[in-house]
Amino acid sequence: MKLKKFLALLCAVAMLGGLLAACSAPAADQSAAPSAATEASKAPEGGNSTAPEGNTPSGDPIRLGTIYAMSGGNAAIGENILRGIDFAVEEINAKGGVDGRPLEVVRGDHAGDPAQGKSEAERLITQEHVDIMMGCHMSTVTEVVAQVCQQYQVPMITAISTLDRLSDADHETMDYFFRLCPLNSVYVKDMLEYLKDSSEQTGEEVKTIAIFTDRAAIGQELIRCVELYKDEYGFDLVATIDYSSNATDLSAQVLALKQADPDAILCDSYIGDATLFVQTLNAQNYKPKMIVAKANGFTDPAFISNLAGAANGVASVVEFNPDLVNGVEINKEFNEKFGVNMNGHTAESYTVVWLFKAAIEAAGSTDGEAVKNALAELEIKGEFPGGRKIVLPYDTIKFENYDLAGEPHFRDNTSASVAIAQVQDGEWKTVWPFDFTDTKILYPAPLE
Amino acid sequence: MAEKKRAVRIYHRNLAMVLGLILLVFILIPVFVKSPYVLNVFVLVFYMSTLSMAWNLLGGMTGQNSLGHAAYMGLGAYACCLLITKTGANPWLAAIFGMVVVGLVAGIIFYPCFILKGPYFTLVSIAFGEALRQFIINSSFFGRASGIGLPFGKDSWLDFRFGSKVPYYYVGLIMVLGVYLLMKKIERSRMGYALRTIREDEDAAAAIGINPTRYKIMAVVVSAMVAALVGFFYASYIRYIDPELMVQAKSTESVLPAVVGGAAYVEGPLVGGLIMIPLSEFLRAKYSAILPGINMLMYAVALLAVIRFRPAGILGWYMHSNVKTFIDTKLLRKPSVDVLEEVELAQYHKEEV
Repeated sequence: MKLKKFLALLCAVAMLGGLLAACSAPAADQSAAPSAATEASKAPEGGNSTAPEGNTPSGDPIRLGTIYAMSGGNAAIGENILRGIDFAVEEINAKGGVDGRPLEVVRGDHAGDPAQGKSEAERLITQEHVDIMMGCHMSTVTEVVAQVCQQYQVPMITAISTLDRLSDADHETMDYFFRLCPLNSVYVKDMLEYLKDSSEQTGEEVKTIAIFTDRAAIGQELIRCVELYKDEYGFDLVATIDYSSNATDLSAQVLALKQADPDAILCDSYIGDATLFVQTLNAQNYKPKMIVAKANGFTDPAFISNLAGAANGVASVVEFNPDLVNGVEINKEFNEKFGVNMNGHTAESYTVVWLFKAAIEAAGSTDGEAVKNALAELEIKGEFPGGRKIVLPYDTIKFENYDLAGEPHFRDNTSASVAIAQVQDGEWKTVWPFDFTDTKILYPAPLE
Repeated sequence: MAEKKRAVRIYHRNLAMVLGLILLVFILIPVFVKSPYVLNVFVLVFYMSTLSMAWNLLGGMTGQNSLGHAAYMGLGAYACCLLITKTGANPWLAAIFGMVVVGLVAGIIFYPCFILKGPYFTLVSIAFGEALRQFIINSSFFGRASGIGLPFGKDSWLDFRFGSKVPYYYVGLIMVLGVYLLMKKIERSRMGYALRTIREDEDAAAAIGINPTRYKIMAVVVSAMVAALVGFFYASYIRYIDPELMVQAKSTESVLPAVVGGAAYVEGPLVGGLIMIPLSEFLRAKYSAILPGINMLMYAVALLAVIRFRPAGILGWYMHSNVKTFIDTKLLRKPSVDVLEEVELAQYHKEEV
């Protein structure tokens, strides 16, 4: 009987643990968030060094709804995104707002759950009366929120949802939904492009590639996209090795890679597996000449600190890197304010706020249909009117309908591309596209 | 005797009036409440309470604490969505298909598991839920980790697809009422008594001729089928599903309304759902920008408080409270238990004759 009671108690504790885990993650950042929000939305300060105009916006605020995970396991990602939004809003308000009206952020929390995302979208639109919407950082939630925005005719831009499907033929009629970031297939295409271009600096051509990845959604996307483009680039895929998330041992997988001996390895993993992978490479004394990751765990700040020198030479896709030509200045200001560097999500979210400003000013009103039409027509070349140069590694933003790998896609930013950064001396250094950086590729990857 | 009969009649009439009034309020809500967000909260209450009632049949009535109900719900949603998207079947037929599939799967999987009792059963149900989720993530037929969306289009009853919340509200209300009546029926049937006997003492139940395994399987199958129905409703409402629907935390969420409301009562999940879900939504709307996750924290605290101070839940407290005595005697004019029994007995004898 005692054992029974004990086990019952254990079950109850486990249940509670699960619930608490879902809400404990953001605890560390909670104190910083509200002050930033009120600061950014309510009281724009005129003293910004980059704001010579300095006229204070007046009139009804324009309400920008944001739906990101602010609680749950992905809260840290949401926090980075919201920082970018706050930073842009503060900058815009300091420069006189949007058509003289201040921008105001209304935050929603989807906690990683599509049903909660729907609920929050409805609340922000019907209760808080937001004019425009940004979200989300999980493509599955974005899908649901975009439908709600379409129904209520609220223009929505996603800064970071990369799932190809969001803009495919099924979504042709969802004309209130736009996407700034590159699609998954563009990420992979750029990875392959990098491998091809790398011979310029390394002197050796990449002929054979292998995939090492998670069996979960991220890995499936990588495999799908590599299969899609490998022939176009003339690469020979010699091995596809996958494993279950949170692996405890990757020796068999690394041995299989060693046996296949590809010129380059493409990978996508969460942070724990990414760390274990590089450690296992070390333990097996296998040094692939090139490793290119599709962000995720590899670009987690913990990746470099976990591995110390062993990470040297690992390359990854990045949407933004502080050493990008147009990123240095903004990153400095951002770091002064928040004490951390901008990352890809931050930079992309920052850019979307400026896009909305440009579109609303072009439309001359916040009417949903007018803003939507303005977004469809909008073209940003080089820099935002009254703002900075585009901080991302491309110089044009325009939402277009186009064909990608034989499938029609709608309202994506067709110029979007990514950069490749490599860990050099314990820091991410941009190495590609060659036009955006002076740093040379470290080849072969030392991994020590 | 005629006096007593009259008193009982009046009591029943008053009771019916109060229940009718409550029902009327729910029917009229969409007429007066125009905010889609508020209606959305009610829809949420309806389907979460239904799911919780499904759990309650197993957890409350039979004493088998399952922590895998999100998996039944998710599997039901998947079965419906796959049938609709792959064959173009009508969603209402797909709902029945989903319920049958999930009922079968639950029955077959749990048949060998019922030698396990108490916490061991709970652990198996957790494992079952996670195994099912992993299976879906690794199967391309189920769309792997990227989920399935239902087709968009015009409003239609045939396709159970609406832009407005009102139809979902009424279908949800019918669902919650239907499942409530079913549970009430089960509670008062032979099966209900058998299940409660099993909960109290399985060996004693077996000794007096109740086959515990048979009844537990029946409870699992009915419970899983109701969860599958909720899955169908969820998929039709959100119009998008993915394997995250089946994570452990969702199963726990389905337990909360029942535990807070009072797991020993059929009405427990309804009361718990009506209180907890709007409260959680309110806290999130009000404080999520300041204190993200406060609603989850509140859930945990409420659960702890209920388990510690009112293990029988809100209804467990109400049933023995002065509030109930007051409502019964003053409002409903409930006669004493002796009178009720006497009249019922007289009625019974009359039918016998």
